[in-house]
Amino acid sequence: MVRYRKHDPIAHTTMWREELVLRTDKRLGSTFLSTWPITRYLEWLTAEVVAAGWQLAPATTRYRDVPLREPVGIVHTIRIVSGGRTVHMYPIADA
Amino acid sequence: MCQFLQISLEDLDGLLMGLPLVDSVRVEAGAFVVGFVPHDLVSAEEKLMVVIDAESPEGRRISEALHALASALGLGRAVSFIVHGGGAAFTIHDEAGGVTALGDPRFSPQQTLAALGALRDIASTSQILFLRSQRAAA
Repeated sequence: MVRYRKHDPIAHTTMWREELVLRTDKRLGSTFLSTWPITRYLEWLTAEVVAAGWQLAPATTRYRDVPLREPVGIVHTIRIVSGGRTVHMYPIADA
Repeated sequence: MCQFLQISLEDLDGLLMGLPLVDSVRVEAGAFVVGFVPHDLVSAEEKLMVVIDAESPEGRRISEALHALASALGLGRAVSFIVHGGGAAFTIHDEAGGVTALGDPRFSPQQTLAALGALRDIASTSQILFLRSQRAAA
């Protein structure tokens, strides 16, 4: 499991919408809400990967999008990505 | 004879920190697993991922870029994993478990620029490979 600091939670409520969009663009990375601290991130991601039965084989990639009812960033969907032996997740635009 | 070029920080930012950007690089099982942030014209996705055979022409180019990166920063060991931290922030793990932060003040601007250039090369190579695979699949 890899921690991408660019996706770490930030306090979205202290920013104007335009500032938030810039702060979470492709170059800087989408961020979780502060309701998703690293402990919750780890527990949730572990449970999802185990439930999906992912084996994280070397040199293979896969992803899964999980829509939620609660907001996770400025969106409601989390993408789980495995790249080889590692896995991480980040908020993506809702479908 | 030396010639000097005047390049602004904005130009450098556009050249080295524009898209595509490396999101992650992992060396495993004779391949490079590269995540990259694609240019908007290529994809609206925040990141894409490709697996590159280390023995392919693209793999050899990635290998050379990783070697150039390690050499520029004086790591003394092969790079095993790179993670993008947003903007110009990258964390570089070496095969011995050492961790280096690009942007560390111990690196000169020349070292940092050389490292960013190598990362740019990896991102561009990966994006070209992705586009080629899309065309082949169409």
